[in-house]
Amino acid sequence: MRQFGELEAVVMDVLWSREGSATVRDVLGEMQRTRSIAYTTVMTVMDNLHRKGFLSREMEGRAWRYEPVKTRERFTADLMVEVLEGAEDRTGTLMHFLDAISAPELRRLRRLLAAEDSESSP
Amino acid sequence: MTPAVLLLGYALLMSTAGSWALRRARWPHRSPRLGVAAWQAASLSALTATGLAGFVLLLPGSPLSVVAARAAHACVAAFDAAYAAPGGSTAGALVGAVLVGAVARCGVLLGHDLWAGRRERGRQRRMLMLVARPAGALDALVLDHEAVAVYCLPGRGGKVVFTTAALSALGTRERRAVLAHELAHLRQHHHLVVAAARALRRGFPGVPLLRAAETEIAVLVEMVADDVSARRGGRHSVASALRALHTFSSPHQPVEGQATGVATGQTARSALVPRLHHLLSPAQPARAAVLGARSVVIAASLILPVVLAVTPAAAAAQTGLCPVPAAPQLLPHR
Repeated sequence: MRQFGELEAVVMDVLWSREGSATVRDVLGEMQRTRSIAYTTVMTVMDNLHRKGFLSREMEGRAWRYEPVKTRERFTADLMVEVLEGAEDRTGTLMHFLDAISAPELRRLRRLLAAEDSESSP
Repeated sequence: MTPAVLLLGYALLMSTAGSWALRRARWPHRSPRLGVAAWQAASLSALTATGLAGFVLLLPGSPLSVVAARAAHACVAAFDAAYAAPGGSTAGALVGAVLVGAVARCGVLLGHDLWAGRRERGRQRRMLMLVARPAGALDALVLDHEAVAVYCLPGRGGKVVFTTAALSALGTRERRAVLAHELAHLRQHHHLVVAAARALRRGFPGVPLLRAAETEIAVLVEMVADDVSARRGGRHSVASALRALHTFSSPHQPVEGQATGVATGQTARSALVPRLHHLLSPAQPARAAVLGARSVVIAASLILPVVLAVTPAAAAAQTGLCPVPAAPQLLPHR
């Protein structure tokens, strides 16, 4: 399972650095430059990522084309919002080094994301 | 007085006077580990007393009473008399059921929180693993982001996470100090301590003791983790890391302004000032006798509710007398 987790990160990296969609074969080609890996493994990993909602896909010809649902920056920003919110409601889910810093950071981040959203949807 | 009234009186005393005394005391911030134990003991003993009060109210006339009386080698009637509720057995049983139910609800809330927390952490960990990278020399993960944050994800395979902004706000010694602090949280399972206090407060909303316990325990576990880190890398490394992160996130609000932050409401809940105070003006270590005495009081507060609940049974067993139940009045038929 741990290895699968690592592969998921590698696959996302490949897709994020490509910009635009890619087939399993495209991703496989890039991954095989640094390691030996089977087509079915990459296919399983990408299917898992799609099932978890991190990738969207479209049938093109006879192959799925996969694309990240969010950019890497947006993905990280959304994760950060959750992390900082966790400091607010103090559920014990996460433990912050200094929870007082989370409130101003959260406000700042929300402002940025709101500006970004209003830019992208006219 | 009946045991139920005594137990409820104890719970009431603990949640008012006990809370007041603990909040006024300065020693919990000086020895935070014992401070956590004291708040936990106060909360738990009030909870135990309430639960036991409910239990003994349910006893008289129940099948359990027969079993308990036999176990204590007491006569069932004497036993029931010892635990008789002041307002009659029906009313007593009703109140008892409510009390036992309320205590049990705390357990349900805690179970739910732990389960939900675990699931939420699993979800966040999966997301984290897609974007975080190892922090090189530190046993931690780095998240590329301009918000300042350092936190840990407790649970199996716990992780400590720094954002890039947090890393750049800290020097090498400070980074190590922060990491040691977070690893102390992970090793000592502080998230469970915090979750338990939260479940109790939610189980009995509006009880000052439980509200204060939740707030205080959250601060005290931070101090405990600060102490662990300070023992490894020095008090000043932890303190300067706290200052650096605070300054970085609120550049216009100096640390000293935190003390008046209560007025603005912005940083009212911050533990920054008490933590810095604890780190930088370490008090003389308390004498062993004083620490011992506090530990004894803490232990006694936990045992006392059980003693109050069991004493009538022991008394009933000791007298060996058995009141003859009033014979049913048989009215002759006319």
